[in-house]
Amino acid sequence: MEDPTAFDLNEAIRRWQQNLAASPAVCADNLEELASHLRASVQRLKAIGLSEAEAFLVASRRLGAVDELDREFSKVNRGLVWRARAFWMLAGMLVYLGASDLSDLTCNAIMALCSHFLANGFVLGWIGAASWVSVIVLAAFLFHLVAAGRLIGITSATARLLQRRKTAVAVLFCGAVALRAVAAGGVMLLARNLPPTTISQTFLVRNYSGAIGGLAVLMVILVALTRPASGTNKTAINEQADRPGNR
Amino acid sequence: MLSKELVAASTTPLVLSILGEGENYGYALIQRVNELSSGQVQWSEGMLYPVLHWMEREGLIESEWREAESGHRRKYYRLRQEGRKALHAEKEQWMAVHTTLTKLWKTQPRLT
Repeated sequence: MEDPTAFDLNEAIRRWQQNLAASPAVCADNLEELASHLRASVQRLKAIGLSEAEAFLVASRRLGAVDELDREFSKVNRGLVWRARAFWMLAGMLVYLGASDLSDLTCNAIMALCSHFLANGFVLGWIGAASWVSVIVLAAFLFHLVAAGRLIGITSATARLLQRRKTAVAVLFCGAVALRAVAAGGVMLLARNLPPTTISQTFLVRNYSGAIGGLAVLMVILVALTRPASGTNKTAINEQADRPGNR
Repeated sequence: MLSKELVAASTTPLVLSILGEGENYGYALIQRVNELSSGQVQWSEGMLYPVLHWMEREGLIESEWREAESGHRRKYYRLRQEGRKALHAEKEQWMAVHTTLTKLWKTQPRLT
């Protein structure tokens, strides 16, 4: 039977590397070099009588904590750090485009449906904008659930997808293109049901109010993200508000 | 124990000087500094590598992966011509400080 307490140096080093690999400033070459350092250090410590597990603990401690290494490597690998940042910014744009295409699709479908019953461009525009914003809010809420780990199946699938960045980008891109194509179909339906002046009024109202609503939603999300993550900050803010000196 | 600032300032001349003796890999550089300074110069081990990579980018040293006897790969660093020049300049500067201080403190310079 396998001894559960047996220490596997290769496994320990692999796990150590995995921890550090999350830092964008550390590339594969750096990871291999640090691993080779750990091996040399472990070997030397074993020679003076430490067990392999003890030697690994001391060696990794001497090499430095992950956040320290991350900070030092960031100084020399600035290009890598910015590449990672740019990747997430662009990925965020793609996600936003995808979400807004999804909203376009829903809102065009709803407007096309409503245009059978009423031909008032102003009302149709507001209906469109409202449905556009609600889909964005829904998408943000869904994103929040996934990130919080509430939808376990989707969370792990997303995590797996994010590890293969090229696939993730391809999936997002194809999704956005497909959604956009279908949303355009909705516009064609509207154009068949309504006279041109009503359509232009509908889209004027929808686009402007929708864009403002979307921006407002984005701002709310951004402000929510600037809050510290722990649960304690809420009580701290309440306490501060409750303190009489702050009035 | 050396101050943080002095450790940072002396890393480049130390690395250049040790590589001046011949090519070497990261862990051995740290060992060498430890031995020579009898533990007085304590490097935070992981910090050496960003310094080495910076020096490589500056063209002072070059590196090469090679198979070690254990079967794992090891990255060896070696001095380049630019590095030799930099070492020479560092030597002059540090010796200038050294001689000035020894004159002030009226002790004999110990060059061993």
